[in-house]
Amino acid sequence: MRFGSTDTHFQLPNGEILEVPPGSAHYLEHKLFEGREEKVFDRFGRLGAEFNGGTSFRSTNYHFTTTNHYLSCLEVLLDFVQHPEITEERVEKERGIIEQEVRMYADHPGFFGTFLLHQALYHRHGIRIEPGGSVEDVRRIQASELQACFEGFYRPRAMRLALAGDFDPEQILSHLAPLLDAPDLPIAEKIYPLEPSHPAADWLEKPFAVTRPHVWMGWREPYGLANGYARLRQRVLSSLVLDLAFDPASATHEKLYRDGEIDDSFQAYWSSDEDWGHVVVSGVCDDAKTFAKSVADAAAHFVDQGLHEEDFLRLKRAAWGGLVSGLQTPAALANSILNAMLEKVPPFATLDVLGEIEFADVLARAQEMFHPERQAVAVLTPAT
Amino acid sequence: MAFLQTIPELRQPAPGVELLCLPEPRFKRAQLSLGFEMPMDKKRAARTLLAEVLSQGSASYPSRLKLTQALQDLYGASCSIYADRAAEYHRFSLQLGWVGDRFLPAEEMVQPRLFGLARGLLDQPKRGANGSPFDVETMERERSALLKRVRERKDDRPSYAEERFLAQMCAGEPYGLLAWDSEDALHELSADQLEVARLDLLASAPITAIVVGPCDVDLVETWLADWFSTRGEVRSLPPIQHPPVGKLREFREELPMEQAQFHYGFRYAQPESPRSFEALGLACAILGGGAHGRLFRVVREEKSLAYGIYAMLRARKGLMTVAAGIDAEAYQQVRAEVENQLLDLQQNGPTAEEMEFAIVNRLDRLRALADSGSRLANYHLREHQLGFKRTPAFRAADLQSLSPQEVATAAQSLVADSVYLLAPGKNQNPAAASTPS
Repeated sequence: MRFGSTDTHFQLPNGEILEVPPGSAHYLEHKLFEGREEKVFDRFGRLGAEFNGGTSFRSTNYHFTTTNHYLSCLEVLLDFVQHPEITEERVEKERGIIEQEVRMYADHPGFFGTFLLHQALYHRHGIRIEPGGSVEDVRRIQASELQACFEGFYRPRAMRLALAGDFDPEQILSHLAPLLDAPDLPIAEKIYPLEPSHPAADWLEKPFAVTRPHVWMGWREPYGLANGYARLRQRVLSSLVLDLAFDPASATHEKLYRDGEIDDSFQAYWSSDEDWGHVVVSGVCDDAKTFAKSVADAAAHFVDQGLHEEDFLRLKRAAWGGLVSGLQTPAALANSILNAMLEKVPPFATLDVLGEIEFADVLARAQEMFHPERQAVAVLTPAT
Repeated sequence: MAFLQTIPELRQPAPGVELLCLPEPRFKRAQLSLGFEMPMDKKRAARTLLAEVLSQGSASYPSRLKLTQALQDLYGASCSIYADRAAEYHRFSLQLGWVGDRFLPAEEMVQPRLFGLARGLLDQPKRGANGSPFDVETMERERSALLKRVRERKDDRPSYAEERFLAQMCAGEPYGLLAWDSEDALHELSADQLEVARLDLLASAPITAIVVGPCDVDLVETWLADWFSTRGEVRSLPPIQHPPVGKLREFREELPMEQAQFHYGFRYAQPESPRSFEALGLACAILGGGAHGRLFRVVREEKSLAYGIYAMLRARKGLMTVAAGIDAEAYQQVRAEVENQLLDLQQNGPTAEEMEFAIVNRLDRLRALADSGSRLANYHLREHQLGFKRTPAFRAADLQSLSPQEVATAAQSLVADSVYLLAPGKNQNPAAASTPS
């Protein structure tokens, strides 16, 4: 469903403009599992299926896996995501459960630090806030707000469905049509704050119950590339550059590791959606400032120290193997297809894009990724 | 979708080496796991550090950079070495993964090249100067990194709580020991001690290997035979301890944190037959096996005391443990609920609906084994270690014929041993108290 945690401000089809608390999309996900007459847990449970949901920044996903009751499970899925019963009593009942979920993450330095980095990188963007919101947010969410979210976004036109398994597609399609509500129901218009193109802060730190400093460094793009092929290509290129720069097969990584500046907690990855994109480099270290300086220097100079086409070709081979291996199970296949649909690219397009990318493309991308003025650092410091 | 009706072919390529073969060409990636099991003896500190040192390269690939580059060349093949505790044994593992040939250019020969690389890591380490068995700089760096990780493990509160719970519940048993022994033991290790540990592992550790996926199992067997055929007699491992249960013990510790971690441990005598073990597994599932479990329904859904609460069997040791993240103030309530629900299951057995839900869920999982190489490998390795060697079809037949009385009888074998809470101390997690906004 194209409705996620950052979608807190929107105009309903009737013209009314609403702003709901952070965490509303996640709360709504919980409420949908309540079902109407019978809990979704019981309906799937009777069929032996495994099921779950997840709220991310721009979408909320629901999934099941089953070996024997495909059509029945599909009926349950399409029923509960379209026909919830959201009452004050039901919303109140879930509050304690969601509070515990939010508090579970509050002890997780990796989770907490990632969002501290988002706060440093962005001024107003919704990804500054955890998908579940804070405990205080959870305590003020009302049933009427969740109902408005549901009516604004949980419509077939905002829904994407991916299926993988041993079934007859024609049978599935004929079974699907009567399970979907009227497809022409309008959906709400999302309203996003204007986001400046530079980081909100170059350095943020908070005390946390950790033994050594945990550091997250980010370099943001000035703007997003929207969904589609261009963003997919940027994602693949960025990942290849990060591998060239910081993978254990890189000279940079070897030097930092040998000097004791980084350890096995060190990682680098690319994160993006339609209106944001940034590099994250993180690790646990003895001294945050030394770590940040070493990594920033390495990012600034790894291109000058010589990138070789043979390294690039080797990384492409490894990336190919990783992508193929990632499609091992039916669940992984369905997930890959769903993500492609949400990103508005064909399924498995990543493999094609990887094949098309040339060394010169990576060199060009490497030159633009690590601008110092787009850098921010977040640090969790050991609490005394 | 049918249940798989076969067990892995068991080969014995060398003394003390058992190879379980699951050549499944439908998977995209093959995986091979070698587990060297040793007692939880004093040498475990050396084996733990050894795993870290050997992971840094070999004589042929003398740095982590060279090693990683070689793996990337093999289309993202993986090779990892680590040491941990498995049941009451110290397990030193070598794990390999590679993409199946049908996804690679015709001339590529990934499997034999990866096998050569992996053997070299254990057989031909990068040596140090002046006859030292290991490069001193590498060893000191890895020792330092390992010590830091050991000290930092409490940063992961849920994992640390589980470790502390098991250490206290199983104090005096190998199950309660740390895989690396202690910081002092790690500090004192010499390169010579690591070399002794390495040679000891290769010469005398019982090895269980399992390979699954698109691979040449004959090549795996030949590789293992060539590597280990000159071994002498391998070590026999001590039996797993099952001490009698005394009075229920209660432990509480504190750390700065936001959410308390609750653990409850029960012991059971090893079931006499695979069928009674199946009944015990079903009892555990009915109590806390997921969204259909009693504890989930009562503690989470009815009382909103936890986001999740689950029970699991630690089958080789003979424990059932229950875990949840809760408010410290809800401790007595959650504890009482665990006790009440288990007592009810023991006395009255499961309801018809509970039986239906738990059985159909487990049947689905058994069928789904055919879709995942890693799950299939884990399933058969566990069966092998428990000595049952049941096919999924055999287990399914047992499951479908179990009665509620058999489940109640199995539940009666569970005896409460220890309950543990890691609770927020006086200084709550300082950042959690001011969540980013």
